[in-house]
Amino acid sequence: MSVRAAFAAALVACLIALVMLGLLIVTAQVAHRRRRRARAARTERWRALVLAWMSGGDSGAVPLNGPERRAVVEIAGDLLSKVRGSDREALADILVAHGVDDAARRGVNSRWSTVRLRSVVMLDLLARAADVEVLIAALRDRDRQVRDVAVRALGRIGSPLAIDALLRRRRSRPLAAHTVALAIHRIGPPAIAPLTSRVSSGDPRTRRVAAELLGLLRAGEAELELIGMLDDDDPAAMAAAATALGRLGRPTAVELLMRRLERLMSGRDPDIDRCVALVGALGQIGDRRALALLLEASARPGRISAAATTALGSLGQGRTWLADTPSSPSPPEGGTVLSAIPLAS
Amino acid sequence: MRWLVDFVVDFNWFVLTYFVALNATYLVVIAGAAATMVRSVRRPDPASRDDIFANPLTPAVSILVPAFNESAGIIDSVRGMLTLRYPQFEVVVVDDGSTDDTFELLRREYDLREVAPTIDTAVPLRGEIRSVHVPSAGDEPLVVVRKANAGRRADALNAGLNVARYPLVCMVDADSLLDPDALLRVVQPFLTDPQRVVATGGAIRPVNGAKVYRGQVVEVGQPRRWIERIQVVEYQRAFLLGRTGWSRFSGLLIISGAFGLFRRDAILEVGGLDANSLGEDADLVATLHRHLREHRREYAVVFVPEPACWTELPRDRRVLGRQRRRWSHGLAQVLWKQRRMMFNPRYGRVGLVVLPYYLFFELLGPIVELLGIAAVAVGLAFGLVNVSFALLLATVALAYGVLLSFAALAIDQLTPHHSTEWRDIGIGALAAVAENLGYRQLHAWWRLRGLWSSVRGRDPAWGEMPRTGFTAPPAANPASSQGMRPVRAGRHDQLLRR
Repeated sequence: MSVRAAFAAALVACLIALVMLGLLIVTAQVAHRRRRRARAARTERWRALVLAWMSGGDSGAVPLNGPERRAVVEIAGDLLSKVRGSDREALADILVAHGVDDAARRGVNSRWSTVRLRSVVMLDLLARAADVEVLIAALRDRDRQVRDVAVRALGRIGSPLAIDALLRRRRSRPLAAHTVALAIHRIGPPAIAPLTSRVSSGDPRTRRVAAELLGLLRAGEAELELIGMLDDDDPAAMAAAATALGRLGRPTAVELLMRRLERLMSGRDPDIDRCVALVGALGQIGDRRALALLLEASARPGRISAAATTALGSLGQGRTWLADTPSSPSPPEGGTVLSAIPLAS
Repeated sequence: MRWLVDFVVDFNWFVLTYFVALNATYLVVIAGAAATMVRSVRRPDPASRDDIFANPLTPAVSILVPAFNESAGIIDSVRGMLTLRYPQFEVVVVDDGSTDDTFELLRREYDLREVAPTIDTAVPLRGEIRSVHVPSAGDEPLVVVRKANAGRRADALNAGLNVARYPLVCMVDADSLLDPDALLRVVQPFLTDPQRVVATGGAIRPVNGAKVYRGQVVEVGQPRRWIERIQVVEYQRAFLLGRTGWSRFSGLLIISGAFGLFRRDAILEVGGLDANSLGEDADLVATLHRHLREHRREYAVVFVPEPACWTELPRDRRVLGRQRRRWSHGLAQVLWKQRRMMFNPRYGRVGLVVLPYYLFFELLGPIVELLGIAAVAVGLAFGLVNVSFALLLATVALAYGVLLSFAALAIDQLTPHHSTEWRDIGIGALAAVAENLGYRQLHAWWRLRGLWSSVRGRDPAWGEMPRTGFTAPPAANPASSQGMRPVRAGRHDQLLRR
C-alpha cells in the first residue's frame, strides 16, 4: 500500500469515526432525555403508592408486572438512602417483599464485578442482619470496591458477628483501614474486647488503628493496654495510643504521659510526632499537674510549641494561638490514623 | 537547489512520522480515559461520600489559598470554600503582599484579629510572614496570613504549608470555585490506599458561560466568544481526558495548581514547592515522582475526574497568549530541572514514557508543527510537494484533530457536569472544528515563544490579567434577577497564575 493510499484510508477511517461519535453524542442525549422523562413519569405514578405502603399499606397486595416492579424498586431504593428509622425499615420491607434482597444475594456471586457491586450496594441499603454471612463472604471479593461496600454494610448492620472478619489481617485483598474503622466504630462497644487484643498485634498498622478506635469508642477498660503502648517502638502507634488516652480523658494517665514527654524532650533530637501527641493528650485530659511541663514545651520551636499552646488553652493558660480560638477549641479529632501512616517503603 | 529538495522531502517524512506517533499516543490516552469514565459511571456508589463525611477518622484538610490582589472576588471565594462539605478543614488564605484591599475586605468580613502563632519553619520562605489573623468570633475555620511578596505563587503556598495544621493540604486558586463535594471526592484515593497515595487532582472546568449562584456553579453552558468556546473543548480534551488517561497508566505528571490535594509530609520531604519554578504545580508532582522513585517507595498520584474546580478562562487573545507562553516556559523549566529522569529506567514509566512525551510532543511540538507548515509552504512554492498529497495530509490532520475533540465531547456526556442543551452541544462540535483552523496554529506560535523565552533564560514577564469574573450576564443570572449580589464583579490577577 502506498503512503497516499494509507493516508486516504486514514482519512476515511477518521471520517467514519467522526460520524459515529457524532451519532453517539446525539443518541446519548436522546436516550438521556427519554430516560429522564420516563423516570419522571414512573415516579409520578408510583411514588404515592410507595409512600402509602410506607405508612402501613400491604406492599404485597398489589400484583405488579416487570416494569412496574422495577419502578417501585427504583423509587424505594432512591428513598432508602435518604431516610432513617422506621421509614427506612418500611422501605426495606417493601423492597424485600418484591424480592430485591434475594436478587442482591444472588448477584453477590455474579462473575461480573459491576453486578456484584450493585448487589452489595443494595444489601448495604437494606442493612438487614440476615445478610451478615453473605457480606462477610463478600469481604474476600477480588474487587476492592465490592469489599469496601461490604465493610460499610456490615458496619451499618452493626452486628458483632462481623468484628473478627473485619479485623482479620489479610495479605491479599486487604480492606481499607478507613472504612473498617468506621464500621467498627458503628458496631460500638462489642468491638472493644477484640480491639484491645489487637493492641499487642505484631503489625504496627493494626496496633495504630486499634488504639485510635479504642480512643474514639472511649474504651476506659482498655486504658492499661493503651498505657502499655506508650513504649511502642512504632512512633505512629505510640502517638495513636497517646491520642487515645487523651480522648479517654482519665487523670490516671497524666503522670505516665508527663513522664514520657519529659523523657522525650530531654533527648537531643526528640521525635516531634510523639511529643505532639503526648502534649495533645495532656491538653485533652486538662489536668493542671501538666501545666509546668506544657509551659516548657511551649518554649520549644515549631509544632511542639504550637501543640503546647493549644493544650495550655485547654487548661486556661494558653496565650493566643491559631488553635486557641473558638474556631477550633480542641485539637483535630479526625485523621490521626492516616496522618500517622508513613509512606510505603 | 538539490539540498533544498532533499531537506524538504526528508523533513516532510519526519513530520509525517511525528504526526502518526503523536496521534497514536493521544488515541491510547483517550482510550484509557474512556475506559476509566465508563467504569466510573457503571459503578456508582454515592453513599461512600456520606460515609467519608461521617467517619471520625477522615483526615482533616488545610485548604491553601494564595491570593495576590484578589479584592474583586476574595470574599466570595473564601465564603464558597468555608461552605464545602467536609468533616474537618481549615482555609488558610495567604495574602501574598497584595497592593489592593484584599486583606482589608477579609478583615472586615470576618472581623479578623491578629494572633501571635508559633509557625512551623519546615519550608524556608523568601517573603517573610508579617502577621497572622483569625476571625474574632471564632465561628469560621479561617486563617489569614500576610506575607511579603516574593514574586512567586510557590512562596505563598510554602507559607501556607508552614501554617497548615492538617495532614492533607489542598491547593486552590483564589479565583476558582469548587463543587460542594469536591473535597469528599478528591480525598477518596487517600482513604482507599493511604500508604501509597501522595497526591490527587480533580478536573478543571471553565466557568465561562456557566451560571453561578452564591459561589457555586448551578448551570453549565457555552460562553459567548469563540475563543472561550474553543478553550472549553481544549479543557475537556486536555484537562479531563488527558489527565484521566495518564492517571490510568500511572503517568500523571501535572496536577493543576488550581485544585490539588497532597500529603503535607510528602511535600515537606521534598522541601516544599520550588519558588524558582514558573510551573510550580507540575514541578511539585515531578519532584515527588523523582524523590519517591529514588527512595524506592511505592506511591501513587491519582486523578479523580468527577470533582470539578471551576476556573475562569482568558477572554481575549492577548491574555490567552500570555498565559500559554507562561505555561510553555514553565514546562521547559520543569523538564530541564527533571532531565535526570528522562529516558532513565530507574524512574519507571515517568522517566521512559511521560517525560519524553512532554518533551517531544508538548514542548517541542510547536517547533515541528510550525516548521512543518513552513516546509509544506516552501515545498508548494517551489513545486517540491505534490499539492494533492499535501491537501490529503492536511485533511487527515484536521479530521484527526476534530476526532479527538469529538471523543472528548462524547466522553464528557458521561460526567454530571455536561450541558444537556442541543445548542451547547452544537457549539461544542463547531468549536472542535474551529480549533483546528487557526487557533491551533496560533497556540503553537505562543508555545514556541514561551519555549524561546525559557531558552534565553529570560525572567518570566509579569502583568495584569483582567477578568470579568464568574458572574453570568445579569438577565440570565438567577442571583441578579432575584436582586441578589452577583458572585463576582471583576478582578485583576497577576500573570503568574495557572
